[in-house]
Amino acid sequence: MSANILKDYFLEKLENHDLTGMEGARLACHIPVQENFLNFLMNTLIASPDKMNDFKELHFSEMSDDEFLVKIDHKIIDREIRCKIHEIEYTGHSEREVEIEFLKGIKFYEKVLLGLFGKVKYNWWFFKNALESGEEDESGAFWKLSGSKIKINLDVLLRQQNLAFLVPMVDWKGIITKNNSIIIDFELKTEHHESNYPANN
Amino acid sequence: MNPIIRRITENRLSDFKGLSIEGEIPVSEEILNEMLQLFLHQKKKPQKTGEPASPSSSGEDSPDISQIIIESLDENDVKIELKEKQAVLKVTVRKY
Repeated sequence: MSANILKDYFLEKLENHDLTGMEGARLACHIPVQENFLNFLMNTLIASPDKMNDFKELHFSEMSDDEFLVKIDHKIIDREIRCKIHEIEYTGHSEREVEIEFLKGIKFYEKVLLGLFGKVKYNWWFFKNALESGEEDESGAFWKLSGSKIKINLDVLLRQQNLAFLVPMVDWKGIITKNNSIIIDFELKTEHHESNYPANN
Repeated sequence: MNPIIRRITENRLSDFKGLSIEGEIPVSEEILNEMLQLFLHQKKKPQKTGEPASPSSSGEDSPDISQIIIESLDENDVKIELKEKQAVLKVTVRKY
């Protein structure tokens, strides 16, 4: 049987939130992405005229102990910033959010500039188009700058990548850096994960 | 090919060393039968005009004999019946 027939069959069921006959599935996913690949990915996006080519450089290094160093060369900011990834938490709207704290390398006025930058609607892969669009509607933004932190809303990020059907299925376990990799841990479950929400939500 | 996909395939996932996906997917009898019906009734994609014919050794350019036979039957009811009404797919995927 063609694998595409099966893929289409299951994709259609998932997109229609039809989990009948597949309830109770659990897949633990552990995905390490090596620094080299992440930088290749960034270079590829920067080299693409329709994606992120207003960045001159976006380079990750020293990825360990939940920290990383990122060199950003962009018309708004040209800096090396040390960042720390915090635990995934729930927002007031029961959406999952990961916080990245700027530890070193960014000054107060640069945070203000980044704050303005954050008001522009865009998604992770298409910074350039959005920066040029000048729209100020934040309803679709998957991140926001808050003090010395950037908060990434993982549920909004999935929806922006046309993966909204995954939102009720993904139970995020953690995003860390270790051994020059960023490691993403999550479980895929074919049952609503509402029971995992904190009791006060 | 997209350079990102090309790198992933050419490097044979070496950028994702340590990757693992493990777990179980229960699949009901009903789903197995839907998949079986998809298999039994799938149509072969028509070959595009101008495309070279597949080598005869692959058998791809020969008539779909199994499909012709299936369509010639007066009664054709093939189904999977599970005693406990559920199968479990056990998944273990790793990149060392």
